[in-house]
Amino acid sequence: MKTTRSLAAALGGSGPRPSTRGRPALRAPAARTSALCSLFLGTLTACTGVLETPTGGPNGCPPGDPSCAPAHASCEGDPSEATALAQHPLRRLSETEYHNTIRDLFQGVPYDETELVPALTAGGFENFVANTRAVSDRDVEAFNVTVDSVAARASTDAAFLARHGCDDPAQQSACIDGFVRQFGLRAFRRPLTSDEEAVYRALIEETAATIDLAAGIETMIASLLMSPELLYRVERRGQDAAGPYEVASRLSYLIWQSMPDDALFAAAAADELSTPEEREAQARRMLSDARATEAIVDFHRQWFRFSRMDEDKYAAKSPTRFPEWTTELRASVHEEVRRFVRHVAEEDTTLARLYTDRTAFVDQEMADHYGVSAPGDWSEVELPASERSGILTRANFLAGTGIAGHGSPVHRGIFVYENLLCQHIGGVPDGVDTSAVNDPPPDQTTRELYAEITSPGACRSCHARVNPVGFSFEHYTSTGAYRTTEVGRDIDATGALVGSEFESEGVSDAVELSDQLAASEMAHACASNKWVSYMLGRRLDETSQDDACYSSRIQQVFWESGGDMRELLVSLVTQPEFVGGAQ
Amino acid sequence: MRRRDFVRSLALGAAGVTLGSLRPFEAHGQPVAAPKRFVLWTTQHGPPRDTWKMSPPGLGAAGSADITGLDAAQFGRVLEPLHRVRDSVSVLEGLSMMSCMIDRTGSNNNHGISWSNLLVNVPYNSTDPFVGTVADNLHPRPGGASIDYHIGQQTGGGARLDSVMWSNGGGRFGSQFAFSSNDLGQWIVPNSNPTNAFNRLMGTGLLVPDDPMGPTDPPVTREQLVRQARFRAYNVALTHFDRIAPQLGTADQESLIAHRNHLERLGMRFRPGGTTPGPASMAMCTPEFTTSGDTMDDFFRLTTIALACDAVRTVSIDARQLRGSQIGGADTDDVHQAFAHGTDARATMMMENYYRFHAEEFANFIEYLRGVPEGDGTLLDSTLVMWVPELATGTHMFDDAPTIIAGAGASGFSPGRYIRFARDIPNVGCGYGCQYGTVGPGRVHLFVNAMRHMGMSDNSFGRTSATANDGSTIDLTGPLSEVS
Repeated sequence: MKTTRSLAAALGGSGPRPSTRGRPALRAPAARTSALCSLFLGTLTACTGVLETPTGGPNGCPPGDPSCAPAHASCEGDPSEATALAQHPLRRLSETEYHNTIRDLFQGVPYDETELVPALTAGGFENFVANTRAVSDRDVEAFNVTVDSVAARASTDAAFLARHGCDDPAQQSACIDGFVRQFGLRAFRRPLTSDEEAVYRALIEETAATIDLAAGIETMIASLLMSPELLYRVERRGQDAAGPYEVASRLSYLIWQSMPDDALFAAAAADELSTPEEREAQARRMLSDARATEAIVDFHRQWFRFSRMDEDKYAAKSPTRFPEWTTELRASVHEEVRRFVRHVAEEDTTLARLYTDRTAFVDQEMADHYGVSAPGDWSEVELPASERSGILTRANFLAGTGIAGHGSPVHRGIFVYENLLCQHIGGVPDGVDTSAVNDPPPDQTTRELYAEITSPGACRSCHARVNPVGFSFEHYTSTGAYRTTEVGRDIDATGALVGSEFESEGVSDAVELSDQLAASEMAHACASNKWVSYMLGRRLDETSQDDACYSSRIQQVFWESGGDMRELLVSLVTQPEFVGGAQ
Repeated sequence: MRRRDFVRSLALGAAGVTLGSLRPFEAHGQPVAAPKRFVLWTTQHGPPRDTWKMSPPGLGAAGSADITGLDAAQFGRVLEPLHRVRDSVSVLEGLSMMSCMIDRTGSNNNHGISWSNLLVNVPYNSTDPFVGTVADNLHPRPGGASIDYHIGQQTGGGARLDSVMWSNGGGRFGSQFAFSSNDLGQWIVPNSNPTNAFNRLMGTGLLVPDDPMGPTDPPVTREQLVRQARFRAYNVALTHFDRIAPQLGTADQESLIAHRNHLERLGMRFRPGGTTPGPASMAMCTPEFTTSGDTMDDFFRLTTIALACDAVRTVSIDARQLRGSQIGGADTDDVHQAFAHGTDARATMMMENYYRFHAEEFANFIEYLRGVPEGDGTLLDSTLVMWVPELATGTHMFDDAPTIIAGAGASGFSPGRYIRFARDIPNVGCGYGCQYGTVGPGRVHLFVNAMRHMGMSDNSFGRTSATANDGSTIDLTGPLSEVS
């Protein structure tokens, strides 16, 4: 079921158009410079504690303002000449990438998934170099557990051995040759050098001589599983272009969060990943694989911080106000959001759909929570149009931004402003007393409370941006339940998508806010930049023209595709920078 | 009480610990000196200013007084729970969080500065901040290793593990922020699952078991031979680290080398004919552990087991922010904003309750440690326990930081005292939170005491001096002579 048409079809041009439910028509796509502006100029201006009057668009940078363009005017050159995007030469696999890699490397050999040390999610995505750089003794021990779990099993698994060039262990020499070469290729994601082959051949042979062949194979597997060549994506530095096997891994970890498959290895061996057309063909093939869908879901897990609702600050909800907030409901909320994003990823995968689709998959817990009937366990339903629209009106986001006594307009507003519009906001100044948030007068609505406590001058510069966004979620409690009244009064959920090109139009509620996000070029630029950042494993460098040019082209493709994330992924890998050498 | 019997007192119904078989430290059948141990406990926020202080009779502006003869009421409302272990603990008044004060600038949040400096005494990493989701400058990364990690690295060789970091918290790092860091200033994510922690300590799952044949006996089973072959396998992997590292930039290179060194150390466990880390007594220690449902209590019991079995000699534990219901409020109370930051009567009472609760936990822990016989004394005699709150007060002060120590009698510490340090050192230049003209000595001196206790000869940890606001130089070297 599709609720959002393709951009090109809808507009005869570019940019998404959400279902507007009879609301005023949304603005046509702005000039492309506005996206650049939002990324590379908007983020430079943070709330500083000084009250500013917005001048048109966010941070005084109105959409389409040509004055925003000169900073990156040189992007207008021939894109095929641009290959200087800074790519990191050493990226340790994230926990998800590691488990996916082990799973695909041993295909069918059972093993116990080891719990790695949690990533330092100090902002950004789990695969960021900054988040995976630290390796503790616990990490190394965990890798060793994988060895304990899988090496011995694999060494005696006939199918596994046959797949890796050892059809007949009785033919020991041929078996060792084949295994070293083929398993080595898949484990290191590149062919072994002749020296490496010799070392591993000797390792197997000498172990086989003192114990047996299976022991030799197990020993080689153990060695490879602890090698940085497997645990990291290692690329040569200082080359103009990445090698074909490096490109294969870039493709596979971007689209699958895992190692290349046989087809990619074959393409790399034939040097058939160097042209945009070749990479596009591979990308489209890979995107049709279920692993791509799961990777897209996982990207959104990180982007929308699905696990935030389990953090102390958001998990501890008032049992008297929210008796429904049970362990069972929390589990269902997690499952529901994953099923929803998977549904989006399996359909047309547009950003507009993510923000506006009312399809839900519910069990009885979620059906009760959303006030709908559930025909069966995790059955597909359509949520009420006046109440729900896309991911921001689902319980996961709402509970993950709801504190003990109520949904927090500030937390919700900040999330949208920072993570969905890529605008920057300052923190609470040290020493500010926000205790009143937790002890509101009984006759005061949440909105009234927040309007009052954020009214002092020192607060206003930031809250003038955050509050209007957050207030649009007033229909939702801290658990994400829908409400129409609070303390006996009708809910006022009017607000505005401050920071976007729709700021001046206002919204009546979060459903309308979602519509605006779905149609916002700035929201698309932000989403696009999230993907670029995820691909690079680092934040975009606001001072880098290379980053700016690359991301602006991706933004344009994304926008013109109707916000299709699969097309965005294709565009990521077909740009010339994708194959640039590591710095 | 016999050594193995103490665990019965720890058992809590079905949930508890048993040490199974546990022998005193011995070598070739002869008793040997117990190893030195160090336990660091960090707690969130800080108590209301001055509410934790005691006034032992006769104690002036500086000096020390015996507290073993005081009655419970004289311990004050916050520290009263320590009365039952008063002969094992000392309360230190007047120490300052000097490193935090030096590093604090106008735009920093004191929580972030505290966690990047609480256990570290070098400037935080201003070029590679720990990036929060709100503002990048709030939670800077530390500039080097924390004292617990440093001591573990320097002294942990005899035990199975160098050091362990635990937390009973949830959230990003299992606590409010991270608290331990390695030599590279990288945060160490604490283990927050007691069962996993126990398995790791005892070699169940995460580590190979000690070779039952002993270090000199040749392996006799295929499994033993295969495990020994892994030593060579991992050595081959080490060569890859050595080949790749020189090709990288400094930060990558340092991280990769740190990874390499962890692998090398792990590989030694498989070395043919070699010894596995951990003394012979480890093989005699067969404890069992079941969670009690109180994770902090779990970690205190685990610490007792770990030290008794010599699985590790340096343990750091971080306590999550307490819930409102644990201190007389409701779980929906925002303990941080409403109580820790508050200054009204209710907030003050709640934070007194908060630290009284922790004092109760601390006393329980001390009783666990001194319930284990060792030599002529108890496990506590060779263990220095240090309790350092994140901040001096819930309102973000850095001066006059409450500090509680216990044990370590075997190293010359003399517990059972209240020690008041003179506040006569010119302040260093921080703004909010430390507005006083003069302050007491930096707590970093106490870290030197800890290193000395652990057998290290270091005379300083991190910075050796600081420049005061009046331009004078503050000496940050040497231990606190008053405590040991």
